[in-house]
Amino acid sequence: MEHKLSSDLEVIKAIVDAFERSDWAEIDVRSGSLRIHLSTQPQAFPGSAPEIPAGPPAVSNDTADVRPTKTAAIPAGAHAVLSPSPGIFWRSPYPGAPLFADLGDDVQSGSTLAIVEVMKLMNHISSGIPGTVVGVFVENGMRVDRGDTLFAVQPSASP
Amino acid sequence: MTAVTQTSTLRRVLVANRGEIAVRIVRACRDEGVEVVVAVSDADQDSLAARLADGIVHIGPPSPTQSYLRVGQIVCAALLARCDAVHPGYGFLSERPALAEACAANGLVFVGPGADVIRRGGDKVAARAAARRAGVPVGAGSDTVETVRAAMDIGADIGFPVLLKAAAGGGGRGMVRVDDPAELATRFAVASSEALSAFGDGRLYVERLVENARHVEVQLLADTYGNIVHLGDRDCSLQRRYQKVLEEAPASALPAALHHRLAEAAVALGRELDYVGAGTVEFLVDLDRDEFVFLEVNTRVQVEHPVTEMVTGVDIVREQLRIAAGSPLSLTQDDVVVSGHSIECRINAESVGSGFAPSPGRVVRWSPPDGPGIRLDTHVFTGYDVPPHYDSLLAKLIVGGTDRDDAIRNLRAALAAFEVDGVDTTIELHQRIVDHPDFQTDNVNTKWLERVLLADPASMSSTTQRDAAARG
Repeated sequence: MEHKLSSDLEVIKAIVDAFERSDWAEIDVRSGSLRIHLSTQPQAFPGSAPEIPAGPPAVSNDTADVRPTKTAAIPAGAHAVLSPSPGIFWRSPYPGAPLFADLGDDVQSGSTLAIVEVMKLMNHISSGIPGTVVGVFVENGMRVDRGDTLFAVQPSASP
Repeated sequence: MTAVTQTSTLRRVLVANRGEIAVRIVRACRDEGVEVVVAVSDADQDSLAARLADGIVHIGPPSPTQSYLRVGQIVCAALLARCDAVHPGYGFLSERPALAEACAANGLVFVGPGADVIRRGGDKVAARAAARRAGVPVGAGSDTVETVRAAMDIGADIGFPVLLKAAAGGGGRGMVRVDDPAELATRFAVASSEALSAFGDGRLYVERLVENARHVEVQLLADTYGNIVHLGDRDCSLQRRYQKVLEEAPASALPAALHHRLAEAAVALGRELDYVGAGTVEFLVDLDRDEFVFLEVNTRVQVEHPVTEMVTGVDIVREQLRIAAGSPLSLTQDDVVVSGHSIECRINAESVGSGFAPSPGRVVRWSPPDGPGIRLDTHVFTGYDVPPHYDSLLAKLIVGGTDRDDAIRNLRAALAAFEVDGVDTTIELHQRIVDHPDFQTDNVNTKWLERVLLADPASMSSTTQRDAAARG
């Protein structure tokens, strides 16, 4: 037991040394009951879901298997925008970037509302009609299924 | 340099990858008597590789940018699991000098060449320069071009169509075709900004587009003692959107003299780069001019390495582990004998009838073929949930035969016996390929799959109908 403890301490020291020599912002690795979480940002502690400023597409809270509700309430007269495939739902092109479209935004028929990423393929989701975003039904980074309602878009009044 | 004994070995390897290649590396470690730990994202903690390994280290959420693509996570996972080496597989961080550097800085062996070789081999402009120094023909074209005007001059010189290629690209990504000088300015801007966002490097170079070409590559193995051997060539001409679909060894369509010239060129380039490890030199063989040009170096194990293993009997991943341990190669060039023929089909989770749309989800039946001459490299099993976060490769079906015709016969039987339910797969695409007379007579080029097979509506309809029926 004592041997195991000293060996764990050696490992922790090696990782802390590696971290200090590096330009890594955060480390969070776990093996069995031993988890090592190091960060240059103290506010990251104590967290079970670390916020990592990584390249696109990434968000603070990654997916898990939580699925959105399958039946979304579509306001009367609004058009439902459905997911064309299973995948991960992204509301901005890369972490920290502005949302493609937010509640209340006016959008064109071809403008991107979100990306559904599936197996390295980025599906750009557009409303298909000009209008106003009146509903957003999935949170950034969530898994979606084909046919899930992503947005509701109220069509622009005809001229 | 201290002398290293021939028995040196690694103690425990961290696999910094997932999917079928993680399983492949775990098995090679077992065969070498080396302990093996797999780094897993939250999506992969119950993977086949995780089950087969001696242990796992959790490295973060499913998104590759938060797990498999983070150098710090990989290095610290190796330290936490008390590994002495890291095998990067292919893709992910396998060709990032940063991982090789971080391993070296922390006393870990990187199973692959050093950061410097990765840099010189991986940068396409630097690699072209190295190829020229080694006397290897490179395609008519340029070094880095800064401006549309410069690209236009080169295009006028070598003739359109040309390809604009990302200097930092590779693996079929970062290429834009320009047929007409009038398109050049727009395409140049698109290619440059795509290269910048995909590779963090917007530099471009120009290359003549070879219309009637075969993609042929040579497998190299090189140890730290300066020994370098080639394991013959592979033909990877069947591609869709520059992604390989089916590969063969040897490249039997080439005349014998060309096999030798390609192998010599690959070895010369390997020497020029001071190459160490397993690597591949890719060439484009111009069928109309009966000549070849250097394409790129891949400084890692290739997806299609099994076809070479099947015709040479050499275990490339085990050789990687031995080289990394500081052992000399277990074979000389005279030991390498290519016999028979081997074909690999990449079985992807894609719906061919729906424009190759990815098809993740639960595999409710997984019944692959087996028998003599059949090898399956896969991480899939009945009940496996194919996650949407990663590429669509489910399995590699590798089939051998005494010659190409024999291999095709065996492959046809193997494909017919391969049953998968729950996700769409590309099995039927491979069946259409092997049934086509052009494939059977080895009369294809890199555009054949897209321009002939997939352009033929009669050939498409059966799958579309079957897909529709399957969805019910």
